[in-house]
Amino acid sequence: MSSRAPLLTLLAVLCSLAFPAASAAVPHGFESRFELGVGHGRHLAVTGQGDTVVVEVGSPQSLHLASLPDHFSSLSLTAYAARGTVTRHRIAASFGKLGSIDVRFRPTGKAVALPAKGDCLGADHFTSQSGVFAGRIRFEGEHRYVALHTHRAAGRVRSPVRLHCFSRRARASASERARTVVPVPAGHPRGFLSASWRDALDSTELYAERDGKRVFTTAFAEESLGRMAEFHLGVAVSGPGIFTIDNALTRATLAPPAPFHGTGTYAAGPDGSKSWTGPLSVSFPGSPRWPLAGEQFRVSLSAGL
Amino acid sequence: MKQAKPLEVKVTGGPHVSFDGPAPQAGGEPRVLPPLAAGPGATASSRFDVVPDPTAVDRRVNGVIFFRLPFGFGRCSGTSVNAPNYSVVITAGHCINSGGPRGFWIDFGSVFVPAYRYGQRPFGVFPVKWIDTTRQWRTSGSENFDIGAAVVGRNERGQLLAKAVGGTGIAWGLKAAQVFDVHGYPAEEPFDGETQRICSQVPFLGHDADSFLAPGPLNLAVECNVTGGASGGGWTIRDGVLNSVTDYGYPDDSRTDFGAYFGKEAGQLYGRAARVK
Repeated sequence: MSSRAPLLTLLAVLCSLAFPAASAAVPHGFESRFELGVGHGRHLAVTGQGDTVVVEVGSPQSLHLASLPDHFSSLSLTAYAARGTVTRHRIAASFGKLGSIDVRFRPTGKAVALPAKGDCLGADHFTSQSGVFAGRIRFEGEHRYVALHTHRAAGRVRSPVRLHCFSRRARASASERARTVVPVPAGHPRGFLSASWRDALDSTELYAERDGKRVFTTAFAEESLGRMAEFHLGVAVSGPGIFTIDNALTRATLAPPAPFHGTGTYAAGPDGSKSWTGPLSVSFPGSPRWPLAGEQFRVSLSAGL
Repeated sequence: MKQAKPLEVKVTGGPHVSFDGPAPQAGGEPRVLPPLAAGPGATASSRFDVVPDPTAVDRRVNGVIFFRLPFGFGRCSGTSVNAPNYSVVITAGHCINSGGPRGFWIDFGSVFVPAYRYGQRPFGVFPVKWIDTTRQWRTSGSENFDIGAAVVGRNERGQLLAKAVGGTGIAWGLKAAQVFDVHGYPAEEPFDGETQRICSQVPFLGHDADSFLAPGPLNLAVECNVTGGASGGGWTIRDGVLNSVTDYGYPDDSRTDFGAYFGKEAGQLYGRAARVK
């Protein structure tokens, strides 16, 4: 049996949410997508690729993970994935009690080429065809936190699914970084905390990483619900003061800003015991106050790396 | 494998050995090919209990695949499956090829030892002579397709595998919700890999959420406390019909075992292996 490390899982799923099914997709495939505003500052995006249809709900920024600006401070999204029918002309999938999507694509105008920046292996541009998806779009989140009933949405069909390109500037700066040691500010050494639990088909993972100037806090949860899976992602970027670690690595506290709430406390005993407790939680779209600390979590802390 | 003297077991009253199933066909419609020796029913348990006698008629089809790697030795579990060439072993894809476009073949002197126990090889050692996986495992590395097959040569006594130990049936294209017997040789703690284990009559729990994010049939979860070494161990239904294999688990939940759904790709793989001379 091969074991899967939680962090690798997290990274894989983050990539998958940004590019659904991309991790194992045929590179020459296509992706169909449309996005709608659903009120309360949220958007709903539907993406079809391969045999998978994903509905994502979150702020407009949250739905574009691949193009987040460097200065983003937080995001929170919920995604629902189901098997469905995806062709260049149709997206169809059932999300059980939450609704269903069955739309056909009507192109408008000419397809356009979107060239990539930098050097590419293989294709060097996307081909994007804009148009309108028409049919049935019916989706209601849990407790109707989002409710969408409509028949049309503007969107596009794009191919290939992804490009393999490298920015010349990024490569040059990476080379520079390889020769430069970035000093860590005094008083805030690097630190990393992970806490996770899994019960059969459901799991929650929390990661907090302090790189000196900033703390990245990420929560990820997934649930398998029969013919559908639900994913939640919450991220906050903040100053170093929200993550404190004592020198002996026996105690740490984490109190990240929104979408997180409360504080988590790590304690390690002389006998090797560890605990991760407190009222720390995170608000995902449709799932407010998702607990992130408690006895069920396996926790680890490292610092000074 | 421990350097133990092989235990010679004289088998009497063994299964009638012949390929009595329909000719293997590639993929397509749901198919159930019968076993050579049907086993009795079992009581439910998700503890991965020791199989008291791995040489019993209904247990000897399960064994260990030992192989060399550039950095040491490795092991997986596997199952002898009924086929016209009497020589097919089904296991996990990652026991055959590391998967994905940069994957490498694990073809360094692999052998299959049915009914292995404490270094003993009661039915001998069958050298692997042909290996393959689902095409999708090799091209994408998606765990939804983590299924592998091997064709083995004769053992030291000149016997073909299925003529020596029998073979399970195999089915693909069935509904996911089945009740399984999970077989294997877990080698990591708390196990030691020296005994065959079984989780009896464990029901389908659902699909791994991550499975939805990759193409292909959704994989299967059952409650079974497996560890490394159990990879490739057979999941049988209906008294000895193979319908999945152990693929992976999560380190923070040792109670749940995940296996690939046997769809048309599994049928195609079996068909290719069954046609090897």
